[in-house]
Amino acid sequence: MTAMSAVPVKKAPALYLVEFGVCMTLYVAAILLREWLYDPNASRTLRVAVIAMPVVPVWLAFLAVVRHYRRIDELSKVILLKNIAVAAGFMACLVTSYALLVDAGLPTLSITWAWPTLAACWAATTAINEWRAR
Amino acid sequence: MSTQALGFDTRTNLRYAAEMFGAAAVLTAAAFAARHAPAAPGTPEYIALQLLPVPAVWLLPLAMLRHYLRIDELQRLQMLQSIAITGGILAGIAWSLPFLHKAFGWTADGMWEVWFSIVFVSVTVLVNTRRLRAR
Repeated sequence: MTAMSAVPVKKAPALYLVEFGVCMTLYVAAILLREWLYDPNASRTLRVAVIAMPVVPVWLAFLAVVRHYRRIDELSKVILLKNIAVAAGFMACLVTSYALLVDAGLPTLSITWAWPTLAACWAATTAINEWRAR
Repeated sequence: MSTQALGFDTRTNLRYAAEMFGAAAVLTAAAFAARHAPAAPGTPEYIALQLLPVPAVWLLPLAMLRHYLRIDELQRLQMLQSIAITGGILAGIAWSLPFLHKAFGWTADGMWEVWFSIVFVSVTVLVNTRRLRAR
């Protein structure tokens, strides 16, 4: 993996933005294109492949985060891990708590809300930790 | 086997296991009480019983935080990596699931807290096994 180790650390944020941006662009393109490409008369394999098309850029985005992690310096790695870990733990408790609140009468939410919730927790955790570090 | 005969790491891990099992037991008891509550739906007693497991849920991350504060820097890094990888994998799965539901006609499945625990334990075992092999 000499390619990634040769990338200067200071270029890591820009490269991450580019890679993640490409993944999100592919995701949006896949969401829009699948409506256009879907043919109910096509074979089952083709229909499944078209409907599941957005799954690929989702995991490419995960890989973009991993690649970013491997490029940055040690301190940034620890900070990134702490932010993600706190956000993931907080989100897990939120999801579990809400599932119990559904039994108490709150409306059921789709699983689609899990990722935006994690993203919001991650953003809030990063912002709070950045503010505390000053 | 007295506690003094055990090493610090062993005692720390045993304490973590005990706290996690205790938190899980409290959560299980609260969830059981909520499910078998002898109260009519819609009454304040019913709602209070349904809300009983919610504070119990937060005992689990509290036990993890207490363990995190006891362990050394390397173990903290490993724990953070495990949680971060788990969070990333579950986020990817949660994001992909609606498309896979539509593609394959699956029905929605809850119990995300169970999946988080399973993935977290599996990732922790894999990360530690990989580290042991690298030595």
